[in-house]
Amino acid sequence: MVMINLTDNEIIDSINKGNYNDFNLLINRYKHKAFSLLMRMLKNQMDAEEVLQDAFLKTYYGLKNFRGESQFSTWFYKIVYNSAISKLNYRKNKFHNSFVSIEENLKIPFESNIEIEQNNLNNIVNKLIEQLPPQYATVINLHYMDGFSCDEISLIMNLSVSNVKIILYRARKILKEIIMKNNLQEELR
Amino acid sequence: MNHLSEEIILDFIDENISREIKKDVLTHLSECDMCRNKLIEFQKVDKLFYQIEHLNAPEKINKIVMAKISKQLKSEKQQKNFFIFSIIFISSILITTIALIFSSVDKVKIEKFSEIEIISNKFIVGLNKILSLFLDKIYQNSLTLTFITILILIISILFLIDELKNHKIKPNL
Repeated sequence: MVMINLTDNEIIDSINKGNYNDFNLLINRYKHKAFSLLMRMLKNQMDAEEVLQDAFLKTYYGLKNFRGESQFSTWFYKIVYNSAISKLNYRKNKFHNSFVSIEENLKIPFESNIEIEQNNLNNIVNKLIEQLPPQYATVINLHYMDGFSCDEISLIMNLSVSNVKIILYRARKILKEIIMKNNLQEELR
Repeated sequence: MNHLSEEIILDFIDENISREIKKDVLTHLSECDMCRNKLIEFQKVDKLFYQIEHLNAPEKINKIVMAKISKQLKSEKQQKNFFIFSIIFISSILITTIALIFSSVDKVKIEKFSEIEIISNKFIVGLNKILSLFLDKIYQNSLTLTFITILILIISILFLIDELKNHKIKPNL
């Protein structure tokens, strides 16, 4: 129980000293966050689970090389993000290319009319985010749910800070438009 | 009257603007209902995002990851053990060979030493003598030594069989 209060770096030290079971603490700390991000990027539970396992294994074997120059969370999310990109490339999805062409004009690919089955705030918002292009959903996830700054997101996603800001700006604008178009503001109050 | 751009409104929310611009924005917002409403709408969207909960990862993830790590660690340990076994195995073969050579040299020494002295050069004989000085005790105990190395060999082989069995029994996760 005491171990739960340890910082990420203290847990890593313990793992590097041979207490490999302490890696469970890191898994518990990050599994839901990483899974959320993967679901937003991959939009498929099976793939998200597979990539999550892979990312945790890569993290474990990379811990010896983790120098603590950046925060563990940023380093870990970079692994998760790159693993998801590899999966997407494997699927021959054009997701990665759309990151590169972020400056191009965005055509909003989602439906503007959203059927809300459950009057639940979390469900509504998740449904709204699902409608966003993957890179927009990823930035929203990292910024709002995981509390990363634009600088940190740029490190994780290997994008310039200005590109991250553009994505964030457009994502908020898109979601505001959807909310207003569907008169959801009353329900979300 | 120029309205505030959405970018400026978002920068204002994120506090990404200079003090001077912030002052101008505040002045404009106090006079313009339209821009104020836009600001409120964006603030609502932001508030909404901050309330999103993480999706739940499957609970089995801990077990699966830890089992894979444990399997990998065991495999590394087995490789290490196999390396040690190989060293013991090779060393014991070398010791056995040396012991057998010396025991046969001993016989040569007794039966054909004079012939060798005549036929071969003095250097080989000298070397033989030096070796025999140092390894005299080994000559005497060569049979015991051979027996011990064979014992080590048997133990090593049993150890290897055990390792292979462990490797086979472990399921693939």
